Amino acid sequence: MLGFGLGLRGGSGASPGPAAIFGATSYADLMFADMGRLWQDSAAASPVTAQGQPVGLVSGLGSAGGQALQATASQRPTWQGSHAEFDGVDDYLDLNAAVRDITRNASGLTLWTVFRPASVAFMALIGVSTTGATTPRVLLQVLSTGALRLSYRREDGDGSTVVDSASGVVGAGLDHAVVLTLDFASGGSEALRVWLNGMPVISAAISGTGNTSDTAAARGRVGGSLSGAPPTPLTAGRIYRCGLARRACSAAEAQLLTTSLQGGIA
Amino acid sequence: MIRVTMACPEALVEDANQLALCLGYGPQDAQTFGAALWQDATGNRYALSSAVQDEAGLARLQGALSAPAWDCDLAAAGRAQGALRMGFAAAPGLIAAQVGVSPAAALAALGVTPAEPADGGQV
Repeated sequence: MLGFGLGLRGGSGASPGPAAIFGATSYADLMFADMGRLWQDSAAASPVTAQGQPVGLVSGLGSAGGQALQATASQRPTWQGSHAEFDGVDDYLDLNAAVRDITRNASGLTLWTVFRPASVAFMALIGVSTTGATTPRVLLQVLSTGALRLSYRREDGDGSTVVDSASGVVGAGLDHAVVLTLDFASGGSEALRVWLNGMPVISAAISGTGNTSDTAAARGRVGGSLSGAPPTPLTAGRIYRCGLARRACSAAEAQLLTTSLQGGIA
Repeated sequence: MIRVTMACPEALVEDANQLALCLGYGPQDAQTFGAALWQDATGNRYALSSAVQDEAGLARLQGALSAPAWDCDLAAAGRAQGALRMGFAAAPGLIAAQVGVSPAAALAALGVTPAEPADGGQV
C-alpha cells in the first residue's frame, strides 16, 4: 500500500502550489476546502454555509476561469468541511468548457487530485473527453484491485491508451495525492508519469509526438466517468481537490505540487 | 440534512422523474433518475438516486403535490408518489427509499449492487 493516510487535506500550504508552478499557464484548481468558492446550486445563487449542504458548483482558482457544477439537485456531492463527499450512487460534477479546453491543442498536461476512497472499488476520479463521451483525452480511475488506471489519447483519431499501476497502491479510507503528467510534445520513455503520494507508480512512453487535437472537449467530469447518465463508474468517497494545467510539469515540480497537496511544508 | 436513497424500477423511471421535477428546484431535476445501472438478487434493474434533503423536503416527498413553475406531469408524479415505500428493500413495482443512513448502508438495505462487472472497461 502506498496510501499511508498522511492526513492530506488538499490545502494550499506553504509549498509552491499550482499558482506558483503554473503561473501564466492555463490551469484550474478546484479546492473543496475553500467554502468561499462553493455554492449549493449550479447557478451560484446560494453559497455553501455549513457542512452537509450540497455542492452544486465549485469555482476554481487559476487562469482558466474553471468551474465544476451539477445542475441536477439529487446528483450533487455534499460538503464536509475539508472535502466534497461523493456518494457512489449518482453524485458527480461536470467541468465547464474553460477547464475542458485546457486539454485542447495542448503540448502537455498535468492533472492532480487528492482523494480518499470509501472502499477499494472501480471508480472514476476526473477526466475530459474529446469528440464524444467515450473518447478520453485524459481519465484517471481506480480499479477494484487498488490500481490506478490512466486512459488517454493525443489525436482524436488515436485509440485510447490504457496504463495501469501495480495493484494495491490505493487503500480504502486513506488519503491519496496523485500528480499525473502527459508530455505530448516531447514523447520519450517517460512522457507519461504518475506519482502517488510522491512515489512514482506509472512511467510509460507515449507513441508519437505533437499537440493534442484542436477539438473542443465535449465533456469533463469530477467524481464520475465520461460515459453514461449517471456515469459509471462513480467515485464513492472524498475528493479534497483536483485540477488540470496545460503543461506537463517536471518531476521536481511534481514533488513540490505533491507537497502542496499534502498540506504544505515550511 | 437527511440523506434519502431511492431505488426506482426501470419501468417507473419516467414517473419518478416527474415526481422529482414536481418537488425539485428546476427542470434539470427531471434527470434525477438515469439509466438503470443497479440490480437486485434476481436481476431486476433499478435507477438510483441518493441526496441530502432538509426536513421540509422530506415532508414534501410524502405530502400533497402541487404544480411547480415549470412543466410537470402531475399525474405521473402522483403515480410515483403512490409507489413510494420508506424503509423497503428494492422490488419491482415500488420505489423503495432508505432514509437517514449512509449511501453504503442504504445500498445494503435496498439489496442492490452495480449491474456492471467490476472494472468493466467503462470510460
